[in-house]
Amino acid sequence: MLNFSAFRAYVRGSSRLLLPRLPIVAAALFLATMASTAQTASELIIQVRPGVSEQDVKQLTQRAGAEYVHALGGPAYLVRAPDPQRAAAILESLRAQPDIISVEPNQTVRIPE
Amino acid sequence: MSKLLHLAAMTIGAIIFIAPASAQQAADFQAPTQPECVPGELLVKHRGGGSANAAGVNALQQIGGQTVQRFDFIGVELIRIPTDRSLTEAVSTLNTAGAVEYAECNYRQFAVKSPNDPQYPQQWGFPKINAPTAWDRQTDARNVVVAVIDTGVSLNHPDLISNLWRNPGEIPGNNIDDDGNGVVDDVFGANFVPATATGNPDDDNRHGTHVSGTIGAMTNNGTGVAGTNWTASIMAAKFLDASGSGTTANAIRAINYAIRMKADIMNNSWGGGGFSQALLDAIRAANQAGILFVAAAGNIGSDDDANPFYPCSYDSPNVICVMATDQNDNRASFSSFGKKSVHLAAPGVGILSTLPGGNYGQLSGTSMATPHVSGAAALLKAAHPTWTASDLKQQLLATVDKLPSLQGLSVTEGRLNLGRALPPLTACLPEPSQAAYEEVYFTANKQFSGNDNVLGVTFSLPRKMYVTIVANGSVQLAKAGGNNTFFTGLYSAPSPNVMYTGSLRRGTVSTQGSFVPLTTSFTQVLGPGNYSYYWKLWISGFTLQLDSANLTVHAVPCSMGGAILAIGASAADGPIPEPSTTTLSQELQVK
Repeated sequence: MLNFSAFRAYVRGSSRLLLPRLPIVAAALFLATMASTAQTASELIIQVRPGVSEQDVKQLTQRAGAEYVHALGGPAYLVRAPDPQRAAAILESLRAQPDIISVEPNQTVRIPE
Repeated sequence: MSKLLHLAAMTIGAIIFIAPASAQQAADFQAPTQPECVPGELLVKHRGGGSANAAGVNALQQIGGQTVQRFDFIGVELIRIPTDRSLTEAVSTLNTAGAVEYAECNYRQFAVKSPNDPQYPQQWGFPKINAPTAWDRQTDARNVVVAVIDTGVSLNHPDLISNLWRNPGEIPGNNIDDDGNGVVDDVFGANFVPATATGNPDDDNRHGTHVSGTIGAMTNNGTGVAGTNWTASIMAAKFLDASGSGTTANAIRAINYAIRMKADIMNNSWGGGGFSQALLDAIRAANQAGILFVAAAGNIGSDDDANPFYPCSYDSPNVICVMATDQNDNRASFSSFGKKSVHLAAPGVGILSTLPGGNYGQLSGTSMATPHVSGAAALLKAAHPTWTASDLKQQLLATVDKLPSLQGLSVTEGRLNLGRALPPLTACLPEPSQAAYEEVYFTANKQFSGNDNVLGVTFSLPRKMYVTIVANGSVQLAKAGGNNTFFTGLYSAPSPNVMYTGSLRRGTVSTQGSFVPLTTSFTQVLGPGNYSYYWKLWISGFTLQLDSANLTVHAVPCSMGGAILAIGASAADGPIPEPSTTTLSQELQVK
C-alpha cells in the first residue's frame, strides 16, 4: 500500500525545501487525494503515445525506477513502484517521460453496494 | 454512393427482420411473422373524414365495396368487398383515385408473445418495459455479442448455456492460444482477475450470472426464467473477484478484450473509484469501435451530477447511464440519479434472474437495471443490424416512458420502453417493401444567438410509411445573457409548415463549458411524397455554441395504429414560440 502518511509528512516540510520540489509535492498531493478512494498497492496505470512499443515501455519504466507488470491492451500498461515510499517520486518521473501521456494510481472498483 | 449503400443495407436489414428468426421460433408461436389481412375487408378514411364524396362513391362501386361499419371518432369505415377480389388492387384503386385519404387492409391482430418459462410471471420488469410487444417482432439476438464485464458468468447454468458467446477462433481444451489474442482457451470469454488472463470466466460470485440472465437467459424453453433476448451471445469478461472487487487496470483489460473480440454492447454493472483517464480512454476506444457501453448509476442514492460515479459518469458518446425504478415506477430508494449524467431508468428492485449452481433468485440494484437496457439494446441491434451505437442510444432514449417520479432525475426523465423502441412490424400493404434511412450530421462549432435551424433533412417516401425523426446533439453556453433558456424542436417546411409540439423541449444552459444535451424526436405516419424537416433552436439574449448534432430519419413500412405516435413526445412547459421558415444556413453533409 502506498505510504501516504510519509507523503503528507514530506509535504509538511519547510517551504525552503518545498519550493524547488513542487512537482513531487504535487504528485504527493495527487496520490494523497486519491487515497480517499480505494486503490491497489503501489500500482500505477500509464498510457503511452502511439508507436511506443512494449519493449520501450519496459525500458522507460525501469529508468523511472518502477517495475513493469503487464500490458492492459491499447496504449495502457500496469507498472509498480517497488518501494511504496518512493511512489510519488516515481509517478512524477514517469510523468516527465515524453512518451507517457498519463499516469494514475490503479484504483479499486466493485459491484455497487 | 455511401448513401446508396446505406439504403441498401437498411433494405437488407428490413428484409431480415421481417423474416422468421428461426424455424424453431416459427414453430413455437401462433402469430404469423408476415402480416395477414382479413379477406374481403378494407379500412378506408374518406377525404375530410366524413362520408364518401362523388369520387369516393365511384371508386367504391368500382371495387364492389359496401360500408359495413363506421368508426366515428377517427372517421374510418370498414368496407367489405367480394372475397375473390384482390385486396391489393382494391387498395390501389381507392388510393390512386384520390377519393380517399387512405385505404388499407384490415389486419388480423394477435396477442403479444408470452414465453413459457415457468418463473416468467414473477419477472415484473419485462412487462414493465413493454418487452412482450417488442418480442412480437424480435426475440433472437444470437448475432449480437453482449460482453458482461463483471464477476464472470456461470458457464454450466442450464438456462444460460446455449446463449453464451463462443469464440470462433479458439479450440476448446487444447491449451493453445489458437486465435493469438493472448488468452489460452478463451472459449466463452476470459478471466482478468489473475495477472495472466485465463480462459475460465466462471462466476465465483453471483452478480455476473444474475446480470447475464436478464440480458439473455434462454427463453421459451420451459425452464426457469426469461431473458430480454430469447437467444443471445453473452461474452463473459470477468475482472471482479469472488468478493465483487476489482481494479481499474483489470477493467481496462476486460474492455480491451471485448473490443478485440468484437462485442457490440458492454454491460457494466460496477463502479467506484475516482476519475481514471486510462479507463475513459478505453471506453472511448470502445466508442471508436462502435460499441455501446451501458453502465450502472450506483446504489448510494446520490446525485451523480454532483458526485460522479464512474464509469457511468464518463463523458463518452457511447455511454448510457442507468438508474433503477421499482414496480410502481418510482425511483428505487437506493438508486443514484443525475439530470445531466444519468440517461434513463429501468427495473431494478426484486429482479428475478439466474444464479450459479443452476439456481434462480431476486437481487436489487442499479446493477439489475443496467442489463435490462443492455438487453434492449441488443434486441434493437438484432432488428437493425446496421444501426450504430449512437442510433441505439438515441432510439432507447427517445422512446422512454416519461414518469413524473423521475422528473429532474435523468436526461430523459423516463423509464425504458422496449416495446416502443422496437414496435412490431405490420406492413401497410402485404407486399415486400423497402425501408428508408437517412442521417445528416453537423460537427462544426456553429454559434447561435437567435432563432435558427440546427439541421435539416429532405427525403422521399415511395409509399405510406411510419417515420421517426430523431434529433440529437449538445450545446454549451458561449455568451451569457437573458435567462439562458432555449427551446428546441422539429418542424416541417415549407409546406406544410408545421411545428411538432410533441417534439418541443425547453433547455437551460447556465454554466460556461458545461454541455447540455439536445434530444428530441417524433413519429408520424406519412404518405408517399417528398418531405423536408428542420430541427430548430429558439434563443434570445445569449449565445449557444453547437458541439455536435445529427438528425436521423428512420422510415419503415408499417401500420401500428395510434399508440406509437407518442414516441418522444414531451409537453412544453413554457410558451411555444412561433416557428419561422428560415432556410438552412449550413452546408449539409449527408452520410
